Amino acid sequence: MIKDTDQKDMICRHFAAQNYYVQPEVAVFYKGGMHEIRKPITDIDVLALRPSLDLRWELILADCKTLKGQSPANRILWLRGLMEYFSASSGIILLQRTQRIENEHKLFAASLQINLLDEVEFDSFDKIIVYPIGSSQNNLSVNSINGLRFIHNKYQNLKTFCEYIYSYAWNEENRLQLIRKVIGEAQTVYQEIDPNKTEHLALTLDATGLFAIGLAECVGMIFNQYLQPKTLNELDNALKIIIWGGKSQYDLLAKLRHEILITKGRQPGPEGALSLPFWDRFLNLVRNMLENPRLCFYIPQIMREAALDVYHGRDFLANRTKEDLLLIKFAMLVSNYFCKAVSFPSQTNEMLEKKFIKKQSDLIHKAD
Amino acid sequence: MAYQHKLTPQDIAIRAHDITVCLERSSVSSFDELVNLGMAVRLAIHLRGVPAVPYELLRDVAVHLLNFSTGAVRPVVELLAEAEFVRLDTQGRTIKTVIPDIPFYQDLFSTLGKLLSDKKFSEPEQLTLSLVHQLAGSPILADHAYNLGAEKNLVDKIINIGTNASFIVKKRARGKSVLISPTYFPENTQAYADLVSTGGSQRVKKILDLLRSNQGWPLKLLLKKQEIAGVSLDNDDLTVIQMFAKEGFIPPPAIETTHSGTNHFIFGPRPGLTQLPPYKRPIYEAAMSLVAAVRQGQLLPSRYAIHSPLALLRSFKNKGFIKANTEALEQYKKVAASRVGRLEITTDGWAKLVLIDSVENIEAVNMALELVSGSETSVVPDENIIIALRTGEHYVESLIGRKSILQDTVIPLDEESQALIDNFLLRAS
Repeated sequence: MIKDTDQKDMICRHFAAQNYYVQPEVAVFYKGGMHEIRKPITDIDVLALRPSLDLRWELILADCKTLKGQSPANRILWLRGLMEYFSASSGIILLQRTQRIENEHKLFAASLQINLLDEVEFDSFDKIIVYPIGSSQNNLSVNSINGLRFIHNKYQNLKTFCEYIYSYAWNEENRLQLIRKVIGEAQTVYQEIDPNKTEHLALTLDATGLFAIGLAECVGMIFNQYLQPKTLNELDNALKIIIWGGKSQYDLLAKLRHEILITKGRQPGPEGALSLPFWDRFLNLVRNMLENPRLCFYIPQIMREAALDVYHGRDFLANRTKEDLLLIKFAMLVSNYFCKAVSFPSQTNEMLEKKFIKKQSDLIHKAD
Repeated sequence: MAYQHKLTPQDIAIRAHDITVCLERSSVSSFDELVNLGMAVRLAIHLRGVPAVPYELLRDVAVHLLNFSTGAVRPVVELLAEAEFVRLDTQGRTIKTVIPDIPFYQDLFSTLGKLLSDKKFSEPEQLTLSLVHQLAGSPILADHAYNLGAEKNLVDKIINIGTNASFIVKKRARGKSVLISPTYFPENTQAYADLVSTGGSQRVKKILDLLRSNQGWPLKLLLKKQEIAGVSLDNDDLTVIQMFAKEGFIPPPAIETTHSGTNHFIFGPRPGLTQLPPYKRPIYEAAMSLVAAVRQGQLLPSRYAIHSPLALLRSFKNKGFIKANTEALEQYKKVAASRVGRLEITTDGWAKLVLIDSVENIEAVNMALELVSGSETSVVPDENIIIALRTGEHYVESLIGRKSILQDTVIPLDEESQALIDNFLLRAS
């Protein structure tokens, strides 16, 4: 009999084989919660992000149910509600096969952008979408991700950081906030990171992937608005407005920061304006990405792959080819910026950079 | 060091690049760090946005397509690594792979300039950088080159090297010698020589700077008010400006309106570092007509003045039209004649200018935007070389073709240096 986790694995593999970014078992919190410590109200079995043709993220939610007697209509309405709450563009419901799902239910689901399938149908669906062999050979699984997600069982001081990147982050109001917030959360654990521990290197790569989700959204917006800003000043202004949620929000926060610094007896100069750490490097990173903004939407996926390779001690990015050279370089640049911005020990960046450099060099010199 | 102090690290890097591009494969024995810096800038701008490259491929591109000498490639790549503009994968002393991370915008020039400004440029290098920097702003009378603080012999030597290596053009006009940078003034060199001989170096520089940042100013208005954008002009300044409207330069466009008569619109040097190919001249002339029309609306309106010419042109490019108004028919008549746009009559006496969508017309609008924004000329890479580096060895091989052995040329020594060498050889045991 197929277990809940098996269904989640099937969905994870199906998404991963299409090069989506996949996150299983995401807790859902109400944004205006009453408690100081946020309490989950429900969870999403599998969540995935895929790039749209116009350089935005599209969110897909999946619901897996192995229990008998599940009412398809109830599940459809439940998932549709979550989709509305998270602004997801489509959904999948995977049910255990007891009897054939009625067409009325399928039509109802389809009208709400949801694919309603049972396990037997899913096998055909998977082989048609991931043509011709399906996704069963893909090695992504809930357990492989959860190994990394729960490393705080071994390193307890990383608990809040792990909780943020694997749960809270997905409840942020928009993905652009991930740029600031992942950096902010990572800075709180910089003293805990030990680059000699492979789990820590893997976690750094996975957190960088989450940061890259916000970065991709930001690069897509800049590209759609400005193409490639001609001057540093133009890019600087555009980014500050996007990252801080509008000009008035930026001005308010900048003013607040200014006043706090004055009350602490420091006179902030014009060079100390509100910005991300290593702002010049960040500007340069974004400008680099604007050379091929579509690739930016595949950095989170390659970061996740890199993180799992490091965590499980596998060959680093073994399945990547010469076609991925620019993507690997982008991944290296993002990892480089992130490690610096969050003040992780410099050895962290050096060790990760070495892996990326070696991979690129090996690919270049590999016989065709 | 007296000359170098006047230049910022960014200026040093840009001028070194300009000189190196003109040198092509020629060697100058007096130039050492200057050429390394120039080559580093040249290689860096071609590596922007490029994925990892095998060192052998990079070396081939540098030697065959960027005119580096073979021995210069490694020090230049190492200089870029020192600036953290490339990551290297090495095996012992061998560089296997180069992974570029070149900054965009001006960072590149200032970082490389700073890196080398700590190291000492030789005196001939310093003088060359200063002279080329002056020439980038305006052509100068040759006599003024001797005011830079160097000895006459050294100035003669650098001018001689510059003319042989093509980074300086020397012209005679009205009995005077004028030095011109072919990088920044690739067109109308004889006309510029005439201009400088008449108006003097300082005055021509002032006028060129003013015209660059106020392209398309109405000549009649300028002569009447004796100023451009609040900067007052004396009679000699006005003489120089009037020379721009005469022979040797592209004739200024004119617009005839019922309320302000016929007006000519004056343009300074065209933005860009390369000579305008003949097939692009009509596009540039169309851009000038568009700028002239917008300046007419800004400075000589019948009733309602254009507040921001730049915003209006941007909107024209993005929306594909300029909103209807009562002055459009006269104002944009020349633009319609150049087929960049067509005038559509909306109601009686009102017309809107609609952009005719074609590659050439979009380029004309872009050129007009460059003219009005007074944007600074920037160093641009060769697209073919960037594609070569991005695409890999097959494309590079096709570009290189049979040029596997290249001969370097050496700029001949000046007489004094040659005599010193001859004397040394005579006395050698």
